[in-house]
Amino acid sequence: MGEHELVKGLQAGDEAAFATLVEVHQQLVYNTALGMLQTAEDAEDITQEVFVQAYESVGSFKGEAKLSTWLYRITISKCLDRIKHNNRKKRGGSIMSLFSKGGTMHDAPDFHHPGVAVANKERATVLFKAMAMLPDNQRVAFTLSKVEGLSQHEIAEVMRCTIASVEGYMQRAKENLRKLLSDYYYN
Amino acid sequence: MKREHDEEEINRTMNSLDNLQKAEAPPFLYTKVKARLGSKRERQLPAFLSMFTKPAISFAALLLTVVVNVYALKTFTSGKEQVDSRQDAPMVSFAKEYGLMSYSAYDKTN
Repeated sequence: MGEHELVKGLQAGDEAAFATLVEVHQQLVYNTALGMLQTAEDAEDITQEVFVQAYESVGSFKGEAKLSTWLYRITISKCLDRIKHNNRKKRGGSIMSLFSKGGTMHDAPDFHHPGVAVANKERATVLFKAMAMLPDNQRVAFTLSKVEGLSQHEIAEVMRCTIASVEGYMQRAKENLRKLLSDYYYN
Repeated sequence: MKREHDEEEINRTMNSLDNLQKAEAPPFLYTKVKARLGSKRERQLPAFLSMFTKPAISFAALLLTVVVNVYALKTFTSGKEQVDSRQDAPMVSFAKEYGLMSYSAYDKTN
């Protein structure tokens, strides 16, 4: 089923089309969520929410971007909301949390991505901790690049920004990550 | 020398996600998504009730309820006084007719 026929089927409420959408794109959505949220439980929950939203809002999909781009956007949006929600829960809403600097890499839980080579497991765990400390745009750009393997052009489409902006986010992300890793390892 | 070693360590960490394999999506995902869609439809309020989830409409409904209750209370209490006085009139005339009215000590002495 071509993408155009798939979209037509989805907008007509065709069950087979929706089943195809889930089957074809579930790995994309799940891996993006896993890279952003760093827990399998949250990633699965968000994956389900993404497809529920896709089902409910496909009527407003105008086809100006690819289906995969559209799904990436929904996934990233839901992941960022979930991260904010989890951070609020961790802080407990206390007044002191307004004045605190937030957690450090040492406080972050270990995340072992199942797709990392054995030789890189420990280093990858440390890198994911550092990624969790990045500002949203840098985190999104770096995750889409390193976890999903998207090109800067594709990342720009997902993030609805220019390629130059993506280059900026990636540059700053790498600088910040190197600084965080240096502090983690040597201070 | 140490600085070069430190940089090398950081470089290796920065490159640790190279050749990352995709994780497998959880099993039965389509079934779970359909179940979630189904339970979401069951939880949805009928259209005319769902408008009360809007704060402005809820507040307006609450205000209207309070106003109606205050008006009803005022009407009830003033109506009750009228009814009481109207109910008293036949009783008073009956008592007068049969000389059953009780007077105060002041009235008796005068």
